[in-house]
Amino acid sequence: MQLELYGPLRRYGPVTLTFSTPQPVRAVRDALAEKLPAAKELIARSAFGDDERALADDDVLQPGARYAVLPPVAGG
Amino acid sequence: MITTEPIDRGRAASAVAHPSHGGECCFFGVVRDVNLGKKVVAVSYEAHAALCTKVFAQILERVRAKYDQPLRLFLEHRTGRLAVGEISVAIAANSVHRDEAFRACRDIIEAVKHEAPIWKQEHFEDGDSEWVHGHSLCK
Repeated sequence: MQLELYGPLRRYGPVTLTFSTPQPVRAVRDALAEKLPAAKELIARSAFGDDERALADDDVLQPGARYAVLPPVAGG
Repeated sequence: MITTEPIDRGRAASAVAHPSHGGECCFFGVVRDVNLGKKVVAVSYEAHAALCTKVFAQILERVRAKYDQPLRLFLEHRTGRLAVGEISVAIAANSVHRDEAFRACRDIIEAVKHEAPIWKQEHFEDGDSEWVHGHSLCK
């Protein structure tokens, strides 16, 4: 699974995580935090998304797919 | 839409102009030179462009549906490094009467701040930079 990191997380990425089965967002978030402990607190507040929408924590991510990791937003 | 080009105030207003509409409201977000007591020299904006385009469309659709009046709306956000005084976001709302135009404009900027995948990094006079704490999209 390819993860593109945005905003304040960009300096840590991109990141590849390997899963053999589909995983809920919350599980992938935990795995990412384990891989990047320095960004643990920010990752805990970050959503996952694709080009269409920000995903809910219960949504399932596919092992071979690409997703965005979206830290808290601050447009305007 | 998301743009890397400077935003033109006049284009925002002209994009929504309509001869039957009497209320036109524009909002411009502008880079200011101070935040939390620190001198700001520039702000960098980054966006997830594809997702942002979808979110912008959803915001405008939702605002149109909220008001029982015809609305013409414009929304543009810039990315890249902006100097103090440059426009980061432009919103224009045009309606038959002023109330809907004012309220729609406010609705859109609040939604952009809370929902659009955009990040802001302030650059300070002392050479330091800091990402602005924002609103989590977790749900």
